[in-house]
Parts: sequence; C-alpha cells; structure tokens
Amino acid sequence: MTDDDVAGLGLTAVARLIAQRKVSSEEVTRACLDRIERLGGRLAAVAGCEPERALGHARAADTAIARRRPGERGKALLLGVPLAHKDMFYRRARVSACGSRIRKGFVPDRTSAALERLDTAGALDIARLAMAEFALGVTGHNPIAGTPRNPWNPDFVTGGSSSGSGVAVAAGMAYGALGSDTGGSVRFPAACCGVVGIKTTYGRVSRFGAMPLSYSLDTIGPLTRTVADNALLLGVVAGHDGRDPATSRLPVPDYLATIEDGVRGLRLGVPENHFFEPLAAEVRKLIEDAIKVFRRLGAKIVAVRVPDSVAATNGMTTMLTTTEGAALHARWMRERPGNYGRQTLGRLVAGALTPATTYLEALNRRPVLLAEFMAAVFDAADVLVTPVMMGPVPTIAESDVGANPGFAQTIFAMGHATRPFNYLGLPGLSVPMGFTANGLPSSFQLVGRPFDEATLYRAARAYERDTGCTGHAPELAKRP
Amino acid sequence: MQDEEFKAAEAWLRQFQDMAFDVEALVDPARAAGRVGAAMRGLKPPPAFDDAPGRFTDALESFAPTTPARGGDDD
Repeated sequence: MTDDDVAGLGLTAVARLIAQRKVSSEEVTRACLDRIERLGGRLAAVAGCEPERALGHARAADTAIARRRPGERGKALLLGVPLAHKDMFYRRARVSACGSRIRKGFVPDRTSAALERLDTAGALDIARLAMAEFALGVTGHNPIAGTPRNPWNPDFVTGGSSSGSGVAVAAGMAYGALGSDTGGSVRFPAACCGVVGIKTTYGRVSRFGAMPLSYSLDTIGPLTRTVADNALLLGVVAGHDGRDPATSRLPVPDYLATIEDGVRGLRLGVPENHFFEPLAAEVRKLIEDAIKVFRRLGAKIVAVRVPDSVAATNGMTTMLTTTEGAALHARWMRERPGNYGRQTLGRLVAGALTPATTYLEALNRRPVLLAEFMAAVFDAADVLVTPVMMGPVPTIAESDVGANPGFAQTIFAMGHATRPFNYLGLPGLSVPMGFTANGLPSSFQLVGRPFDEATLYRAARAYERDTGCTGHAPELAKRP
Repeated sequence: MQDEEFKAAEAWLRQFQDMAFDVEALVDPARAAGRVGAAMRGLKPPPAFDDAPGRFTDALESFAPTTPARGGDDD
C-alpha cells in the first residue's frame, strides 16, 4: 500500500489492519505525519506536533501487538491508531494553548478523561489541532493563532470552533479527532470539511480536563471520516466520570451492534417550521434529496411542528455561553484584555453585561422547554432531520467580521439549526450529503432523543451505505 | 442606545465587574443581551415559581429510550 492508500483508510479499517499486523502502526503514523508536514502548515490546522515522540509510541504499539497472543485484543480497540485532537484536551505536562495568546505555553496538571480513555484503548495522540480562540467562534477565524483553511478549497472557512479537527480528519492527517460543541463547534467543522461529527447528549462524555467554555452547554464528540468510525470512537470516550458531575450513569450501548440495522419503519421527522427557514435553495435541494433516500430505504417520513420556543433558544444558548464564559474569563478580562482577539473579547463582554436574573431564567426554563420539545417531536418521530448550516460554506474573506462587520448577523444565524440542541441537551449528528455549487461540502443533521446516539448512527449508516456520502476526499489531500 | 445608557453600561461594568471597556465595544453586546431577555420573557409558560430547578442531566435521562427506536430492516 502507498502512503496515500494507508492515510485514506478509515479508522475502523486501519485499526483492524494494525491488529492483524497487515500494516504497522509505524507505517500509518508515518503516513499521517507526512500529511501533517505537507499540509499542516499550509492549512494552518496543527497547533503542535512532535513527530519523533509519535513514532516512538507507534513502535511501542507494534511491539505490544507482536507480543499479543493470537486473537487477543482486550480493551485496546485502537492500539496503534493515530488520532489528533483539538488543542483544549489537556494532557499532563504537555502544552494546551486553547487557540489563544493567554494560554500560550500553558502546561496542565491533568490529563482529560476523554484522552485517558483513548489512551486505555491504545490510540496514539500525534498532534494538537488548531481551534478558535477559547472555542468561541463558528467560522474558524482566529486572528491570534491563525485561521485554518478548508482542505476542499483553502479560500473557504473550515467552520469552528473545532476547526483543526475537521481539517485534519478530512485531509488524512489523523483517523479521528475529538472536538467540543457548545453551540455547533463539532457540527460546523464536520459540515464544512465533509466529515462526520457528533454533538453528544449533554452528560454522555466527561468534560474533565477539557477547557471549559460553558459548563451548562459544553459537550465533547468525535469527528471522523465514516459513521462507523464515529460510533467506535464515541463508544470509547463515553460514560460516567465522577470528576464531571454532569455525566450520566446510564450505560453506554455498543453503538456498532445496531449500526447496520437499517431504517425500515424508522420514523424520520421533517420539521414544518423553524429549521428550514431561511435556508439557501441549494442546501434545501440537497436535504430534500437525502429525505428521498431515507424514504426509499423504508423510513416513514413524518411532518412535525417544533415548538415556537425553539426560535428563542439560539439567542439563549449564545447568552448562556457568553455569560458563563465571562465568569470563567473574568480575571483575564480585567488583567489582560489586550491579549484577546477583538471578536472573542466582544462576545465575553456581552456575557459580563447579562443580568443574573436573565441568565438564571434561561437555565430554569431548560427542563420545561425540553419536555415541550420531546412531546412535540419525539412522540411522532424517532429521529429529526434538519440542516447543519443554513447556506453554503462562506469564504474566509467574506466571513471576516473585522473587515466585513455586516457578516456578524450571518454568523449569528449560522447557529439557527445547531444551538437549539445545545440548549435542549439533545444529540445531533452531522452527516455529509453532497456539495453546493461552490464545490464545498454540505451536511444534514440527525437529532435524537437524549442518550439515543445509537439510532442516529443507525440512520446515518443506512444513508452512507446507500449513497457513499463519506467516500469523497479533497484533491489537495492526495499526493501531487 | 442613548449616550446615557452607554455610560450606565460602562459604569456598571467598572463598578460591579471591575472591568473597563470603551463605550463603542458595548453597543452590540448590550443590545444582544437585551434582545435575548425580551424573547425569553415572551415564552409560555412562565418559569415555575414553586419548583426548584433540578439537575439537567436527570431531566435528559427521564427522556432516554428504554428500548431502541422501532424499525429496522428485519421488521
């Protein structure tokens, strides 16, 4: 196999080949490092990488595999598989700059729970990936650490805030990456870069050791090339952790056990209101085509009317994020305001202006609005389909709010279909559905009941199996 | 927003948050916070007066499926 063949494999496939010793961890790690060297700087996707250290870990994994008894795999499902993660997942004694100047050189005293679980599964952690400053920002712009570029066309944004995670997975620099999602920060880069990304149910994955932005909304989820890869990674990182009091004790299902079950008889809800207005015509066409695929595969398409309160939750999510963010950042805002990017500081100042009563009212309404949404949608449907973004991926130039202040409203509108599910705590899976006229990917979102990620994976896998939607790779990622 | 309101917001930040930002930078954030509050207060029903808010994860767990969603190619 060539390096490109190796780097082009999915996570599930490469994990199996490494375990079978048909390819070595060192080979696949070298292929990823080659891409990081070739593209990481050009696409501004990598915050830090120590190649020799990564190769040392890969060789150690190969040694461990060689010593295993035949058929033995145990908990090391990902032994020797190179991953890379958003630069906000702490690893003890390693820098986590969080896309910022303020935390440049910050060395945490802990390792995040998600990384611990991946370590236990044998995965390699080969690079720290670029992100929006302190995870605030939906486009991927970062005037402090550099703005990543979309591997499908470097003139376009990557989506944020897990911008480097989207780029690295799409461009074959890693087989999977963790991101965080407070208002769309996994789903936007997944959609913009044409990969699969999940915003998990609030409480499904421990945030211990991950940089906080909003304790009430923050979630962690993987970005991967295929649906099964995503299910595999979530199965590894999900579960209760006493160090994050929000985590649920509900058991984590085997997401792969039901992933091939298909959608015959599954009720796919299509919203009559809110989520499809305002929507660019070419994105609408792609989603309508996707719904036709689900119908042909045997899903029952049902129209649902979402509660009118959903319209308010975009702003409520932003307000909760900036208010909790302002509380977390208050000391630095007082002492080092000049070290923030202008947009980041502006958003945090908004939080410092929120009346405490408004903040508490937004929190107190959550269970009520969740119950209202569940009754309106999930009595009639098993899964809801919506857009991720309301239009095509914008260019870096047009979405630079510093140079084009009028785009700020468009940026707020980008959260139209994502932020409601952070407020409601529900899982949302971003699935590639094709390309818009500018040649950039576009995705739909599948939303499910709390802790029912398994049904989302099952539906997405049926669509993927039929359409081959995750089989595309950007030309730029291939060797010239 | 009027000049007096800019000054009030700026003074509020300085006196109660110990933060200093220029008036211009506060315009959009203050408006945004105001709009969110207004939209939220228009929602029905109003927040419960007598019920203490619970842990949100518990609320989510109460809606978690106890059995997988219906359907599947074997149905």
